[in-house]
Amino acid sequence: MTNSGRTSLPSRLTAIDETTRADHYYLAEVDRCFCFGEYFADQGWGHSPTNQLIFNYKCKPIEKSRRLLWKERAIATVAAGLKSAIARSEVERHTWVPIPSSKLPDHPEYDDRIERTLRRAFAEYDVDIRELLRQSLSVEADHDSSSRMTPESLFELLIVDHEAWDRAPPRSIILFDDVLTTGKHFKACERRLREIDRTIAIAGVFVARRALPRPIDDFEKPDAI
Amino acid sequence: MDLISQAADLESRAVRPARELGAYEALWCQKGATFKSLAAKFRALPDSIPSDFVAPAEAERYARLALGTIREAGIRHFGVRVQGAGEYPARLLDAEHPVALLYFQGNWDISTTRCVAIVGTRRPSEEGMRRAAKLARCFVQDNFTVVSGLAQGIDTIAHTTAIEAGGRTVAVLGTPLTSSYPPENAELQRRIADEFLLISQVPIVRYSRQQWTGNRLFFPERNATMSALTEATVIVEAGNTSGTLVQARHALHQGRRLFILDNCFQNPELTWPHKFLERGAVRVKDYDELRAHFAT
Repeated sequence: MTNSGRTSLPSRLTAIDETTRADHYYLAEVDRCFCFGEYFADQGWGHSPTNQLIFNYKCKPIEKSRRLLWKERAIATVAAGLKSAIARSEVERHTWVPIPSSKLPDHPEYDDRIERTLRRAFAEYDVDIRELLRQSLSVEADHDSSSRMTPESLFELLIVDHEAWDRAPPRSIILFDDVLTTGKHFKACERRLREIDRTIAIAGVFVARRALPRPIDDFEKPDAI
Repeated sequence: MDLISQAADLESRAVRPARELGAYEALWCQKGATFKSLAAKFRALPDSIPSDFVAPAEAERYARLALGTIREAGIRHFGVRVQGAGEYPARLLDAEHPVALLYFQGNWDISTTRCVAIVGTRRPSEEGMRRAAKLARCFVQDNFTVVSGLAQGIDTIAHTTAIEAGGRTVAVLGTPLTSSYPPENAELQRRIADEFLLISQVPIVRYSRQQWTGNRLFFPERNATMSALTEATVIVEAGNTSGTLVQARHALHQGRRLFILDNCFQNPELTWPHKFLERGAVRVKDYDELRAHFAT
């Protein structure tokens, strides 16, 4: 790894719509998901600046310190992007919920970058950032694993922190994560939260979406959630 | 303006690609629309996107028209780039009239590699064809992406040689994604869309509503974008009235490097090589000379 990737995010989010939804096969038309950037999952020749940013951002906490420096820079870039793209009044209107890490806090690879980014981005605001969701056990991260988890098993792993919810029931939730791939994490989280409040507004905000350079053939589609 | 956009919620400030392409198509169907007039509109209202200038119902109507044409053309997968959002390349802003939106098919990440444009006449000499092929092969060996305009002649040779050499190529079209010109390049266009990257700034609906005399004007316009997208343009062979010279002019205007092969200077009938040399172009004899320039 030799570069920092992109050092700023665009000033506007881009909504997932009919031109891009097919790349994220678990998302339905009603799902409100937004991302800053995009990278393609089809390379054998290098990384785009956005891909490099994500690569640095996802760097495991057990990596060498030089690489962790790049990770901190990536967190700063993402935090700055969030802050400049979303108005304060808008930020404070929602409860921001990190999509849970694949590892539990007692695991050496546990990574709190998502929550840390939100806290850094909105440090001066009166913002509600709450870890309403966690996993019941550590699993392989999707990008590391050859046998990827099904949406159903992801859903089974998710636990809602009822105590945190009851403290002040949220009125509108934004789920935040780094990459939107198939959309299954978003959907599993949404499903868990809707068990508590069936009608609450839930949106997803992502640093980037994983784009496909070609249409995915129907037979490649996994079963929907 | 700033206050209004800042107060807007997540939803309304976010870019919706389908809405933006509809608004772009609608703007292009207004009387007198050109890349110049559109760029002036956007410049006058900083941080604006196409939908800021078009009523929602109108944008929606044109989006349906354009998306319908795309579907009918058998294109199952494409994307757009909107100025001010997502992966719109900052270097396109170096163009005299930066495009507000463009369409693409294939792997956009290729545009983030080191890109060089190889351009020239539609009717090259034997020598010109040989030189274009050699250049494309050499650039591929040095891990550059070969960019061209999918026209007959030098463009076609540049694309096909880059592919045969195992490299990457990008085609910047003078037609919408939904058309091919010349028609015999339709297959090459499909292959570049499937395996590499195809880019077009040409509005689909306007193109379908006007004749060739109007549509042929889109060809030189795309050269400005091709030049802005790349770090340098190399002219292999071109006549005094060639469209290639449009790209030469834009390259220098945009602060891009412009290389002219030595053989162009040998032809006493050509006046343009000397003209561009005076304005800052670089005369090169062979690839080794070119490579030395790229190393600095």
